[in-house]
Amino acid sequence: MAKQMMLTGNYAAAYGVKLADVDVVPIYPITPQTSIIEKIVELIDKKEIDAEFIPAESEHSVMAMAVSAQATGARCFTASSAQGLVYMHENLFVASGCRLPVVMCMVCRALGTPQGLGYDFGDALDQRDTSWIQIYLEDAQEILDMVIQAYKIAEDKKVLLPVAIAYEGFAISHYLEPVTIPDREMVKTFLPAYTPHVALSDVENPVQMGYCDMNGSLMTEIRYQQHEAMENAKSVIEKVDLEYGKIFGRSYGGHIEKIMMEDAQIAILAMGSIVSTSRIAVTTLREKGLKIGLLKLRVFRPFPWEKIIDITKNLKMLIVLDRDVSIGSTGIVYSEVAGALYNLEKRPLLLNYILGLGGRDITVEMIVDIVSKSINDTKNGKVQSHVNWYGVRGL
Amino acid sequence: MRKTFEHMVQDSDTLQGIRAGHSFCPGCPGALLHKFVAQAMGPNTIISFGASCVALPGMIFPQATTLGSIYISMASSASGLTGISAALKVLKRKKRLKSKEKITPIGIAGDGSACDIGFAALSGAAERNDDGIFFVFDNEAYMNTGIQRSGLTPQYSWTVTTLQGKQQRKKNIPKIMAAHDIPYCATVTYAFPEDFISKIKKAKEMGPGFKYFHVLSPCPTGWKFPESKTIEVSRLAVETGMWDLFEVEHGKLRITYRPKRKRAVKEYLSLQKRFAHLTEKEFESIQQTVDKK
Amino acid sequence: MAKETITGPNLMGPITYQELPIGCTFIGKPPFTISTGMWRYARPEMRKKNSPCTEACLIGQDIRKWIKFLRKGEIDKACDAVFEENPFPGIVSRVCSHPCEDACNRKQYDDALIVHDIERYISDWAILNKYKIAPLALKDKKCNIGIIGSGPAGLACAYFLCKTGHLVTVYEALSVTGGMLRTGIPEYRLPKNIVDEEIKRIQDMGVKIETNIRVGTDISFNTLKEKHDSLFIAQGFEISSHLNIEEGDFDKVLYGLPFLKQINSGQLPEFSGSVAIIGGGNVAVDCARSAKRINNPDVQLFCLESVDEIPAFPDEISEAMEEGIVFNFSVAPQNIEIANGVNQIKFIKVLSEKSVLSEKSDDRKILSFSPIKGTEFYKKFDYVIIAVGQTSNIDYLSKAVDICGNKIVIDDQCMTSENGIFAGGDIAEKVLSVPAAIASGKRAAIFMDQYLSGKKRLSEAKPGDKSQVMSMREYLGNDDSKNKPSRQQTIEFERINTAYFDRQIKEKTEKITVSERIKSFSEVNLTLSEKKMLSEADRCFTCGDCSACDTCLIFCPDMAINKNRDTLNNDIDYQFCKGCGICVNECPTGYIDLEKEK
Repeated sequence: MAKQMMLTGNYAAAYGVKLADVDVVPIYPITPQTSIIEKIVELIDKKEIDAEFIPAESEHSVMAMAVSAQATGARCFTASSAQGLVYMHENLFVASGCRLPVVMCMVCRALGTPQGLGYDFGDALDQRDTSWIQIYLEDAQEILDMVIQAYKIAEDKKVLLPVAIAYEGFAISHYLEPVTIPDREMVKTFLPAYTPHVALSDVENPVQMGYCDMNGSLMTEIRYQQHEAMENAKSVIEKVDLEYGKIFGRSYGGHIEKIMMEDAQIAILAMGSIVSTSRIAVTTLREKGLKIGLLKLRVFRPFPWEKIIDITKNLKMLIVLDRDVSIGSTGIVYSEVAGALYNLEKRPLLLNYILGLGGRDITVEMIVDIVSKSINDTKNGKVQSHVNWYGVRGL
Repeated sequence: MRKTFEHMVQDSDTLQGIRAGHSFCPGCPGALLHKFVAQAMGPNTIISFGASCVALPGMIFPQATTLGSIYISMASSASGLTGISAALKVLKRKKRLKSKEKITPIGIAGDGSACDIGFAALSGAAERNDDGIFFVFDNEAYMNTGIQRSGLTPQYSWTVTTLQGKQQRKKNIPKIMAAHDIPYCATVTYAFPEDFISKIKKAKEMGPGFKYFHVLSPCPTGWKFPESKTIEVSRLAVETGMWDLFEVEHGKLRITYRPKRKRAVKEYLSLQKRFAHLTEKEFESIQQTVDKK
Repeated sequence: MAKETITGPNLMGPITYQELPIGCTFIGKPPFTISTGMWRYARPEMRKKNSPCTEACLIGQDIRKWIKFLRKGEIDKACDAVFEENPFPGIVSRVCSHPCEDACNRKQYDDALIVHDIERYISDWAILNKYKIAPLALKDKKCNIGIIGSGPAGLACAYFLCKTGHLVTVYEALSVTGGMLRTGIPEYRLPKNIVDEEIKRIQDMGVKIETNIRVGTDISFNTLKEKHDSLFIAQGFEISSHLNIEEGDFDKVLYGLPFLKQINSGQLPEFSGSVAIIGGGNVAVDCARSAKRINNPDVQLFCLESVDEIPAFPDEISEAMEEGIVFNFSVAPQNIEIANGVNQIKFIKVLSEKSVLSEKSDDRKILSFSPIKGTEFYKKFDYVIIAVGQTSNIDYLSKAVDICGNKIVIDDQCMTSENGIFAGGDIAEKVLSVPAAIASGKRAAIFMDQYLSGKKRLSEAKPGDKSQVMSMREYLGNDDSKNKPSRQQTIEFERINTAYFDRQIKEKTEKITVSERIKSFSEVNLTLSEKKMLSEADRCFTCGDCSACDTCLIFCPDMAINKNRDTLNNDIDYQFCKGCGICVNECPTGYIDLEKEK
């Protein structure tokens, strides 16, 4: 029986873990993900989750434990942020290289130095090359639903890649929202128990995992396999989203959610909590008569460039809002989008706004301001300033 | 009494642990570690490797190890063991394990991997008392990358990064591990195979908990002695007192072998060219350290 | 049980991304293994080498072989191994000076193995269990051989010739068989029932012994020549040598051989008071100890040699001293005369000078003695026994074969000047002990068999390069031909890896107490118990031969040693052996050598 509870984003993730019948949860505390693991431990203690939690001594070990437990044949879950996420960077490659469907919540937080507790996507996007599927979320309900969907996506035999569910710390992780918790039995039908294609626990058929490719003779083929899996993931993600919608009544639009895009000429593309703010901004601007729409980019990896081309090719202007930056280059989402659109004959004018780093608040006014600045900038049909840092004191 | 090993030899169709045709250096005791471990542990074992020469049979094609294994990363051998043991616990509880026998996770890692870069993981696994047996293949340097010094390189030893001899002493890891209050901590070496295998069997039969084995592994390539003398060096290490064979079982220390007549450390050190530059004073100081033990 | 039913793909080949198993996993057996044996630049070879005990043994016995069978509990096979080379283990174990024990490598570690006690254990078992020897299958040419003399040389020759399939008849002048074994060596050293059993065993094999036939008197030599295809003369020395000094009262001055013969036939003379024995050989010591057992007189022995040079066996001397016999070294008797009804001997002290005749191991150095002026002294004894040497009377052969002094001249193949007539033992060679006589008989048997089968002069069959002895098993090709010992090497102590042997002192041979010993002629030494025998057998290093301890197998890092459960010798799998040499270094017996790879 589905029920409603007031949950924070982190607690929603914990309830998602409970519904997904996870087996092993290696944990290491780091703000702002600590409440996920606190809740999971509480639920284990109350016997609502039947799993082993391992209080590890570092995040590097956390991922190693997740990898080895998954390799043994257990369904694993973990969570990390910022410094912890970067500390486990080495083992993220191991998880995807061994094609183990681990699911992790990346509760995004600004990467030090300077050590910061505020949120931005710098830590999660920094892991974009680890061959993990990355899905960026907007609210607690989506988090709970996506934890369950993530296992379904990851464990699909055509995918078998680890999945990261990313959302901003504090803004989403600590906000209380009403969340519908689906019925456990219905989830069990949607997501059955984990059946690995190969497991270490099958001692009758010994398997050696994680071998060394001495002279690079296999690297290309192995990477191509991962690439192919990512390509398959594109359709699997859509399929799972639709299936989930059918059973539980909530669908999220797959790779990209289109908001007010029917006759839009200008669009804003963003991820995470900026989307929530932008929904209001775009509504306001529409009321003023501007033909503007909003694109919520959910799936960052695999990057849905076909979808983006399809949606944006007839737009006049596309504004990419990046709550992250790759110093020495542009905002990360912008560079990916630009790469997708480059070869089009007819493509929108593309602008990048870098803002909200370290959790700096983004208001509706700021977004409205950005739109007007962009319109100004492209008055004569060309982009004057591609990459713009918004809100820097002194600029 | 003459020592014979007929009773320890198994039929060739039982699990060997490692196949012939592996790529270890001639005279390397790494294969012996696999042999003895598989003999004592049997087929219901999963290995979590850490970077070391000894991990290569699981990692290089054609694979020579016959047990299931995983290599995660250099520092992750002990965490791998933790993950495997937690997964086995849960899978057993949820009745999703295919095998009805008890499966023991083991970790095999080199001295650099387990005691330098991966020491946090090792210490964590010991503190949590995760179920499993951990073996450190101590060849006293980072041998796989070409004989660089590690925290477990002994004092005065030559390595490519301590050309005049290492000034610092060897980290006493067995002592540190015993201080973690784990159920079983032991030192072993190859020249005493009955001691080696009986200790592993004892650890296997104990209840769940973290058991630690520190295996002194003479490396002909890195320690620079003729390959035929591997077992002899291993024996001399114990007979001169440079390596003690003991076990700490639930906090109780027991020396499992006392040499009847302790030999001079010079006998052990002079066989290895990595100590060729040692002065008399340095020999003396090593002898004194050993005598004080 | 882990099954290796799946074979994984060849990851070194051009495998496509569709065929490559995902997740960097490899399941099952690899499709091939690397033949790491190709990397070798040194090669271990398992090669049997000579053990010092076999090299030193006068009969060339393969002592290692017995020990290996005893350890397994297969005493019958150990027995077979003994009888390959030695027809009389019961006798030899009791009277040999055991040079094998002096050469034993274990002596340099803690104590030599008490080989003679082990041999005795086997022979006692053979007697108790009525062990029988079967001759080999009939040869194409079965010849009729005649042997003169049923002493150890003659009987050994008979045994070996009968074993190779010939018909043998032995002619013995006395009414009893055995020669010196029966009439010379006393009962307390060699009980006569042992001699009976051992001779009976070869008679059961098919050897015919005709007693009371003295050749030259009862039957002529020429008759024998016509009767047989070949003859072996081994009549031995039965006459005592005399001293070249005045002798006194005939009743109370006796000679060694007749004295012993009398005692061995059961007639004990009446001794009391004091007895002097003149001589330093085993016969002299036998006389001394026998005399002691008759009413416990005061017995003193006088010999030319010093304590280091005395030719009698050290064991005999030490037992004699325990029994209270006093040894006087480096004295020469100058004359004997009667004084007040007793014999008075004038002695003088002597100095010995050594000159070495040859380097051969069982040739003693020739000694010459010079009297020291002014050291004369007189001693009185009731009885004197002179035992200064033995000789023979071979006049009846003077026309048949070449003779030099009291010996028959033979060539290096034991043949006399007459074709087909062979000789051995005391009568032809320098034989200093019973085992040497047996060895002489064996040599002759081999050469006679060769001669009779018309074979060309073959290279000699010897157990080892340094050994002078001939080996029957080598001659018959019995020694498992795949693993023939290397002629070039005898294992020295340095080759033994003593880390695999705990120090352990030898078992002590049990003897009856001294007071018991001098009361009667009961055998002094007793047989070992089985437990002690096994404990001793366990101490053997088995120098140069595989002892199936499996040390190499346990320590081989390449799994390149295979256990052969049939032959119990392990062998090397050269496909994978990398030539590290750990097996060579660790093998406790020195069985494996490291050589350069071709």
